[in-house]
Formats: sequence, C-alpha cells, structure tokens
Amino acid sequence: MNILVCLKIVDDLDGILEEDWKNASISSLNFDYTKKMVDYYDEAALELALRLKDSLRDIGSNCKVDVVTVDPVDRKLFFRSFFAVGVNNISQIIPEEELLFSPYKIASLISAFAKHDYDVLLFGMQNSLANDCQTYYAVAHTLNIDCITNITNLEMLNDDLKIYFDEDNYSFEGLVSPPIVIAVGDTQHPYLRMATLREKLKAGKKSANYYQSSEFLSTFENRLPEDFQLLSINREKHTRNCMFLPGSEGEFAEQLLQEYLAKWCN
Amino acid sequence: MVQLNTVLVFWGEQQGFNIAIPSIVEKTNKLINSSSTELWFINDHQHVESYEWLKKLKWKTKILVSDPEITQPSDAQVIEVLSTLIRERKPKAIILPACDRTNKLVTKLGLALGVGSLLNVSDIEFQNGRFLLRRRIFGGNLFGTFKSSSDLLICTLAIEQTNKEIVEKFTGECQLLMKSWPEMRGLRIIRNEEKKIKKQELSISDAEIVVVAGRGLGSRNNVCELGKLANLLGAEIGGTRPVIANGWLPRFRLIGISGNTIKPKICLVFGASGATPFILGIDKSQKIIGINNEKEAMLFNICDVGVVAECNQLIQSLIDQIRSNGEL
Repeated sequence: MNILVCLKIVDDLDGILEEDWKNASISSLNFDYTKKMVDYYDEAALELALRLKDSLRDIGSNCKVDVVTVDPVDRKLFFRSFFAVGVNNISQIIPEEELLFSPYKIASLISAFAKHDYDVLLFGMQNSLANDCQTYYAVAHTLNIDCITNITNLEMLNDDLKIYFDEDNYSFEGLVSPPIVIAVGDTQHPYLRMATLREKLKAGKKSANYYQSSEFLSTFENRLPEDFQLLSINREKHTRNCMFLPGSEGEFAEQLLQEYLAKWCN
Repeated sequence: MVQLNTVLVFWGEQQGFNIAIPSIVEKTNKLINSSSTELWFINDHQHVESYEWLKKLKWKTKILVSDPEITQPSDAQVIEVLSTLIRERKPKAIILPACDRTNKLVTKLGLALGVGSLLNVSDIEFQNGRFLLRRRIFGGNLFGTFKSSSDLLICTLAIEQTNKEIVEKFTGECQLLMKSWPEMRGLRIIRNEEKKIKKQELSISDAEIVVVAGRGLGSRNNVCELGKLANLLGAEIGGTRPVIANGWLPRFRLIGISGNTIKPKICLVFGASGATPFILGIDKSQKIIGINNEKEAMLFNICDVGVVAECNQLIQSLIDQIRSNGEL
C-alpha cells in the first residue's frame, strides 16, 4: 500500500502578539518569530498513516508512507523528524507565489505530484491558517477518485480500508476500496510519535526532494475553478471589562457562590 | 436594496431554519429577502405530507425536492438535482447554511459546475457587480474579505442561532415544484458494515450554565472533579481543544470554532489560556467567569469576572462549599 500524507507547517498562532494582529495586512503577514508546528489535523493524519503502516507490517504486508508539502520555506528540521518516525520519502513543492488562500492551485500541484501512484492520499480536515476545507475535495475531483472526510480511524480489512468517520451528529463505519482521498478529523491519537535517538541518527542521512511548482502547475490547472481572491484582512476583537474578584484564594469560592452561582446550586 | 435572484438552500435535516433565516437575512445584508430569494428544501421528505408551513412563508418560490423512498440521497444525487435546478432557474447566488454535510455538498457542487466556492462565510455584500465575502482566517484571529471571480456565487454561511423569530408570518400562494431523485450509479463506497450511531443528545449548546475545562487543569482526574462541580450546579461541561486532544473529554464536548458555540447565561472557564478559536465558541455567553493562575492570561480579556487562583483548589472549594451548604 502506498500512502501520501499532504501536510503543512504553520505558525503557532497563540504566540503572535496582539500588536501584530492589529497591524496585519496582506502585504505584512510576517510571523517569522513564532514557533512553527505541523498543522494540528495534518499531524493526526501523519500519525494515522504510520499506525496503518505498523499494522500492515505486523501482518507481513508492505506499506510506504510518503509526505508532500507545498511551502516556500525549507522545512528541513521537520523533515528530519518525519524520517525518524518512519516516513519513507518527503517531497517539498516550492510555489512561485503565496498560495495560502488558493486551495485549488494547491490541489492542482498535489494532484500533479501524486498522479495515480498512491492508494491513499491523507489530508488534515482543516487548514488552521486559511480555515478552508476544500483542497482534498479538489484533489479527489482532479484525480477522479472518491473523498471521505472527518475520518477518525482507519484499518485494513483484506484489500479494503475500513473507515470510521463522523458527519454532523452521527458516527459511521464503512468499507472503501482504494484509491481514495481521506481527510482526517479528530482521532484518538492526534499527536505524532516521538522518535528514538537511534532512529534520529539513522534518519540524519536522508534528505527530501525539492521541486519547483512550475514543474506541475499546468498539468491539472484547467480542471479546477479559479480560487477566490483575498482582497483585505482586518482584526475585530471583542473584549469585556474584566472585574477581578478581590480577596484571597480562600474567599473566592464563597464569593462566586453568593454573587453568581447561588441560583444554580442543587 | 439590491435585488438579485438568489437561492437559499436548506438541507432537510438542518434544524431551526425559521430561526436561522433572520440571521441569514442580516448576514447577507438583505441579499436574501422574501421578494428576490427562492427557497429550495432538499430531502425534506418528512414534511412532504404537510407543507402548510411552507405556504406560510412569503417567499418568491419554494421548491421541495424529496423522495420518501430515499432517506439518504448520495452526494452525487443531490449535486445532480442542484445542478439541474441551477441550469433551469439561473440564480446569481446559491447559499446554504453551513454544516459538515452542506460544506461538503457546496464544494463538490462548485467543482462539478467549474465554479469556485467558499465555506463558512460570515457575511456577504454585493458591490460593483461582484460578491464580496468575509470569512474568518488564521484560526479566527482575522477576517479576510474575498472576491469571487465567477458570475455564480456558491457558498455556505456560518449562521448563529438567534433569539429572533421569523417576522413575516403571512399566508399566501406559493409555487411548489416536486422533483424526485434521479437514477444514479451511486458512489463507490461499500457500506457493508455501516453502523449509524446517533451521538448522545447534545444539550451543551442550549445549556444555561456551562463549565469549561482548559489544559491548565492538568489531568483527566481533575477534569472529572470539574464534572462533579458541573453536576452540583446543573451545568453542562465542555472542553478546549487540548483537553479533547488529550482524551480528557469526548469530542462532542469541544467548545470553539471547530466544535460547539455556546451562549449560556453563565460560562465558567477553568484553566484555559484564551486562544481565539476557543473564545469564538464562548463569546456569546451572557456572563463569562474566568479562572486562571496567571493574571496576564488572554482569557481575562473576554471575561466579565476574573479569578486569579489555582483552578483545581478552587474547584474543590466550590464542591465542598456547595455540599456543606446543602447539608445545612
């Protein structure tokens, strides 16, 4: 089985100063100082892929997990840790322009890269920066394969994939035949495993492949619509006037109960 | 007021459309209105027999697409019907209230028609012949204004339940077009083992008092203690993303931009830092009481009452006091 995990490295938004949010504009979106991390759902997708690889290896089946990312910045440090936890190949596609709000262009690149070489293409459900949930649908449409979202778990069952997914207030189980595009939602194991020191040393010798977007962009571009154009950004923040309870820790419980919670005490 | 041939599509299982409509009218700056908007109700089969309620809405056209034989039409079937209706009636905009299913349908519909779509839009304007859409980006910290390049707008609208009820209650003639689902090959998904488990009836969105567990509580055991406090207060309990990710509370108790948006009378938040995606889930609360051991926590920017204290100790003190008051 060949699995491709499509992921993004993003800024830790909690570390961005209020001043920078207030002053943010399309031309000045620069959060270089913040910590970088794998996007939350993408991390869950990668861990899920590796778990599937583990389970297939346990029954003597081959499985390859590759990673691709579309990013103008070299993410070598992350790639080392991905190799260390068992990723086979890593590819970075370097775009010529900012594509953060262009899910269809990103989908076109990923589709051209993946072609029909993979059984499963895994994405995280939601892009924490652009807040869109469309890239994986566009990839599925371009490659003319199915797409299932909100996946919470995956297992192999003979030649099929057993999937667990959510939709609105319901949980489902089902069987699908690869090839398939899958968007991973809230899983039981959302965090990527830690590599051992030996695994890290071994991974140190591996390197990623780098591609320019011009090698891929024209391949499927006509199959997808034009992306919406981002015109402007602005900050709207609602604050309240916080009144801090006076007194010491021993007095807070009584104050809360008397002044705010008495009505609800059973 | 701009008069455009817009279409508002309701997916049959969506609840509370009569409360959602005033919110939608406001958010679309009255692009959606009773004189220029068509309503399409998809898969509303349970109302086929009695659509008196439809007749009471004074909207230009109402189309009911339903087939009692098919309770769960596939995406392909829904998209085929919507595509046909769009070709026949040539609307300027197709808008659906956002949920998991409609977000998926809208994206696939757009791809099928070769038209870009946008999800979870906050509001819509029409200026100089183009639609301008605002949507939250960067984890909800910013709003982005987007312009569509296509003549047809397809989007989902993030709606909030309001307490307003639909103002227009007229009786009047309406045009109903009955259609049935087309024959489709169906998707390639094999559902031999499909099990549909309805998740626990979720009352958190309607609760009058909610207590929220943040990562600062530190452990599942501490969250359980907070659960005891919630029981004593008759409150629902919710959690921030780190709490859910750690498995300290189940997924359906997530509070925030990706989970539940709540509007209780009182919201007590223990040990959360106040990240924007979480704040967006609680900022409609009437009163927010925040407890954190750091006075500089972002949480206090959106609280009405702040308590700088060690959360787990305060939870125990509250539990002890309520119990001892009960014994008196």
